[in-house]
Amino acid sequence: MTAPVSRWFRFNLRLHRWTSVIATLPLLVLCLTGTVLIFREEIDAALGVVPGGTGEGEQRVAECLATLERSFPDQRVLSVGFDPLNHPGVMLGVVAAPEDTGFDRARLAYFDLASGRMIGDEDPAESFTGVLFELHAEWFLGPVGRLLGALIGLLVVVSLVSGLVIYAPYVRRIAYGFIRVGRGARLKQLDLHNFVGAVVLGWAFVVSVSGFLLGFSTIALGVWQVTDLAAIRAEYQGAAPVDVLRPPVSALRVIEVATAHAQPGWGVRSVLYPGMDLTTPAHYAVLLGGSEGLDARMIDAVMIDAHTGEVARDVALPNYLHAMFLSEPLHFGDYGGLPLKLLWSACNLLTLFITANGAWLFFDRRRAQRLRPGRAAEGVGDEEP
Amino acid sequence: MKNREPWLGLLTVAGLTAMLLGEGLVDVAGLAVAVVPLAYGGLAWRRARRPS
Repeated sequence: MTAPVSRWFRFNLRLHRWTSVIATLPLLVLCLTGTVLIFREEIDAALGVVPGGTGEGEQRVAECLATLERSFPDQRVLSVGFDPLNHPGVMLGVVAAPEDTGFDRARLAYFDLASGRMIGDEDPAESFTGVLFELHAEWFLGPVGRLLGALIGLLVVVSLVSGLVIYAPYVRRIAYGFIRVGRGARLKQLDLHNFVGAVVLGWAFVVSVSGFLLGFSTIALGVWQVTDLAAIRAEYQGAAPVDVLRPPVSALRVIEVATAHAQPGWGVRSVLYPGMDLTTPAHYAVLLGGSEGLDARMIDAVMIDAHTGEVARDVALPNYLHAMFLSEPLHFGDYGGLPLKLLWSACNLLTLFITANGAWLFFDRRRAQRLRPGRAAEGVGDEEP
Repeated sequence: MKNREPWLGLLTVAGLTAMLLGEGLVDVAGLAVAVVPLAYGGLAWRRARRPS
């Protein structure tokens, strides 16, 4: 017998079915690649993608900078970076042709902070996890692919919310966790779908909303460049540009000034050289990060005059960029060590299961409708015995 | 709780957010809260499989 259902329920049922079925294939790819990417640091370390530093001790930043300039005499340095949480003891140097102002054609090199030696120059984007990440985040389509990812995230959020609306009427006669076996494959799969869906709903919501936000990261950075950064660059329009190959003030001095200027517990994460898309022709931009909790995920920026070595200004980043910074850990689950990674993996695999089993339910229902076209199959009771 | 189990997902959201904001004990507590839906689901599944 088919139970009477409201228009609101029917609307959400259709919404759940169609948003889910459209998102099925991409979501399967995202779940599979995402499960591997949870362990990206571990895989990269095992494959030696980012070489490790030789030890703690004194940080020979000056030696690393000198080695960087000696190793690439015909190139300009775009930036140097430090990641004490994930890659302690290592400095990343990024170089490009002197006329380049962005990272599109950049080369990467790693330096051991303990010895000042260059220890590798493999581009992580060409590694196994780098290729998987490009598929996961951009579908090999660049910024357009990121927007596609945002659309998939939106479809999943709609599917989750509509699934929540239709959940209660479907399960009202079944104990939570009970799977009806021996009464047909459809009822068994439906019970599994509802049960596992209820278990992972909160996690799936966090990951899909953060994935939706991350899809707009390129656009957000672009908006910041043409608004806030453009205003800063206009303010310094009259400043004499520096020689991008040999700025008057060295990056080492810039690091010292920025470290002294940073709030307690914060340190330099990246130094962007003058004459780039993200700086002015006469200023370095330094990104500062914290070391614990939320601070480890936040970024402050400061601009330093490349003529004098003085702090020119603090740059307040807008809230939409902070939202992007916070979305990344909430999407990849890389902020709670191995226990959180295991939780992420379990939820990812469960989501993979309900995605596949939901698609099976959708196509099985259509097959049944073709075989029995007269059967009303829109209400709650159509799935009931 | 009957028919309202998906709302336990709010605990996952709260736990994961707490882990992002805090360190040390907050991390441990956040993780414990975040896994409640999985743990409760596992218990319910075991209970439902037990012959009555």
